[in-house]
Amino acid sequence: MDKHKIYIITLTMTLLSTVVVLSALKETNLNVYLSIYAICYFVTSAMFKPRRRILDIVGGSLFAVFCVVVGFQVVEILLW
Amino acid sequence: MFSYWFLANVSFTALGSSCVVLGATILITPSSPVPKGVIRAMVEESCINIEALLEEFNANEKAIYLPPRNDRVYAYIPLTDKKFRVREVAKVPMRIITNIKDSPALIVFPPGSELIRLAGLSSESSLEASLSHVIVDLLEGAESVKAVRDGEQVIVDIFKSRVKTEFPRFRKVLGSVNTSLAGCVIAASLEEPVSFEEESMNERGRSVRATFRVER
Repeated sequence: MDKHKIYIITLTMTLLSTVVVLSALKETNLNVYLSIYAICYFVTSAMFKPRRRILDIVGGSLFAVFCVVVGFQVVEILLW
Repeated sequence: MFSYWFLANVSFTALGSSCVVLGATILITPSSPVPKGVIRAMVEESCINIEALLEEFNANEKAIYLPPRNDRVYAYIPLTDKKFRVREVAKVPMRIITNIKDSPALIVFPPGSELIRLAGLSSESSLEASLSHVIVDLLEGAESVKAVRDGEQVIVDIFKSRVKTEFPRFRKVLGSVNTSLAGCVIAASLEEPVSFEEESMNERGRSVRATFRVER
């Protein structure tokens, strides 16, 4: 099996296990899910280094979401 | 959005988001790990050795594409204009330099030979479908392909070719790369020897019309 297929399968497994584990832990903050998705995405991408047809828009979007989430947390801590 | 705003269920929303991430990742990840441009360049470069061989032996006669032997199509290139029965060609020993009744000839594996083996062509699919599968889908060597069979003659139109053939002897004997591929596909699909007859290009050189004759 080529590495692109293994990459997709690994990403599917990690994303689904994130949902299952966090749901089982009764996590109700969507930001936590999205942050962990970003981490899973970047870790699997760094492991398999897949080639892209176009610019990595998924990675860019996840990174932007991650920055916004972390930014809000930092602002919240500073103002509190 | 629906599960977040209306159902107020974070787990479903998270599951939906993961599907979006996964779907977008699949869309931007190519199915073929080797860039098609690299495959095209390798096919083009494989012509260099054949060109050198043809120049060395001063080959001028048109090639005959022979049906696969050990899954590979090969081309028989006569070195003289002596007439012989094409049926006899299929029985010649597999050597670079061979001869039929004291008529010397070359046997080469054209660039499409290995590609045809990998394509796993089936004799049940139509000629045009097989040509399109190899030239358009597998190699991305042209935008579209049309083929018409009129008795023993097969005319192949290749539109918007993306593969260059800068080797004059190769083009004269085997046709341009796409034409050579078409010859290989026809020989493999029909399981009959196929003679390359002529090739004409439009003004810009991007659309090619090639004529082959099926030898029985």
